[in-house]
Amino acid sequence: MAEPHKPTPQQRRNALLSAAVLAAMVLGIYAVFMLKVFSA
Amino acid sequence: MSTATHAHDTHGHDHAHAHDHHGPPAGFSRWMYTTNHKDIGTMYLWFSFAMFLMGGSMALLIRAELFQPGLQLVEPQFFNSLTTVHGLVMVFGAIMPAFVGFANWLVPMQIGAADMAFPRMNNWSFWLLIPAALLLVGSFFVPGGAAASGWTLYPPLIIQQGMSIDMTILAVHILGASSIMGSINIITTILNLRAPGMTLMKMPLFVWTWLITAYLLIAVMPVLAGAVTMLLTDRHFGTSFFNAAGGGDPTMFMHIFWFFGHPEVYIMILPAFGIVSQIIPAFARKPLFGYASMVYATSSIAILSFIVWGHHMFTVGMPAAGNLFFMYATMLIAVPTGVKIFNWIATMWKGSMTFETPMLFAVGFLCLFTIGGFSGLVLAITPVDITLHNTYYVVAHFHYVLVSGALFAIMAGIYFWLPKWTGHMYSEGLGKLHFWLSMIGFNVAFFPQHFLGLAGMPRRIPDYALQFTEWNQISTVGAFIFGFSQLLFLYIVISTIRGGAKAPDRTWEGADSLEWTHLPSPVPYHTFETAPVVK
Repeated sequence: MAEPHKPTPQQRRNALLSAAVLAAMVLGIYAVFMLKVFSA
Repeated sequence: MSTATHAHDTHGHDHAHAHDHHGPPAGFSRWMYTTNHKDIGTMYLWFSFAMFLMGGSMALLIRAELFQPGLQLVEPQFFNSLTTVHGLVMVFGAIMPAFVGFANWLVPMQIGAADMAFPRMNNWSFWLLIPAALLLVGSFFVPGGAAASGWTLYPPLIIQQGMSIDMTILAVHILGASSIMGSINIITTILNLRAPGMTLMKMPLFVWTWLITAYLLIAVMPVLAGAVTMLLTDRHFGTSFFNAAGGGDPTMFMHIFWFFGHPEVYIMILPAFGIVSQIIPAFARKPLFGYASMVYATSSIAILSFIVWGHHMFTVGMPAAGNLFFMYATMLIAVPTGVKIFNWIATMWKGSMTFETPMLFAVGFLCLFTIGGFSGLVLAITPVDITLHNTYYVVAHFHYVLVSGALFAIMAGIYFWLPKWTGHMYSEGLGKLHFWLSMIGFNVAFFPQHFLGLAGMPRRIPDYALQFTEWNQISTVGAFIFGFSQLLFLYIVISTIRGGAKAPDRTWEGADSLEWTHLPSPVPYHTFETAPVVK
């Protein structure tokens, strides 16, 4: 099967970094929210 | 909008045909283990259509019960479950996955990427939907019946019901996880995998609207997850966040829910704006008027969506200053929305317009969504909302936004890209018949609900006073016309997949994004063998 072009190593690194930042945002919002309400 | 050229030998017809004997894996494993964005997009779209039929069946049962006053077909508790699960299924099971399906199909093709950034996570995002859907629908069959608190899951009802609530809470958690993973994938793909030359301000509007939508999802899904976690601990772990008997405050849940819930409305409508922004220029044969202002207006709507949640709860007794703030902030959203409406009209102005089925649905969207927007402005006025709160006026308003808004845009998008996806033309005659049946059925179903609401008929009630009978009967007839006309849509889609006239690569002469200018119809299994260069 014809292969699609692959992302460059730089694109892969940037993609992983973006995903890590976004995942941290999600977990951060959830964690701050939960800590706030459960510590009140 | 961008124009693009090939730097190298990318997929042309001959090249694509040379690989025709290489297909995807056969059978069930293709779909179970696929990491191909087009396969996953297809699964999202079929899943959303199945959920649409399921939620639609519940809607028809609701409308059948309301055909005349008195209790005819269902018990009141079951009626409440129907309205609740109908809302949850349509929001989380039908509309949102449909747009994620479009994103999967189109985002990589429109930015010149080979696939999504994280294909395995993409597969996982989809398959999480199945257990969530089973939990939601399965909750009808447990003791006590499905959740009956309305899709907003308000306490105290939600705390008092049986195990179906736990199933619903788990389903919402799973759906949220799926949405978050999908959003991370979409943002990462758009920011990192664009083809050379595809700057942000050359991206098609559909990609822009999804980028902004994905950020909205990232911001508000954890809030919903937090709210339902608190519900769970109230139910099983002795907390009293929302339980007044233990010193909690049900109103707090409303604030938290709607902090998620209002951006959620825009999560369901911004991708629709993106689809319509692709279709109207194609059939007006003119570039989109005010591209940059469309991007800024979309961003403004997204930002404003975080500060208007209180307009859903004007009647709970907020201070007057709070009511005024939320009233004016809500009205402010009409400004960027108006920018978009006028830009679409300006795009059509003096264009060489034709009205194939996608354009009919797009124009239908434009007219009816504007009605929904105006009734939203009416409801934004605090004293008016206090009168109309929890009446059928609200039901009419949000169905004009979410059915003739989001759903009509989805239909428009399906007809627009179906030739690209399948390689076949759909039946234009049947498509137009589907549009007119939908248009007439929808308006007959929902326009009278404005009158019912203004006359004071409350929502979520299986019985009503005699004076509401006529408009309810008309509404029910319209709902059945609209509902059954979607079976025609199913027939059109299946018959297009199975055969039909060969679709040209550039099916619509005014369409100019990469999937039309650089890819054959149907699109090969692997989209780009080398990245296109965009000038």
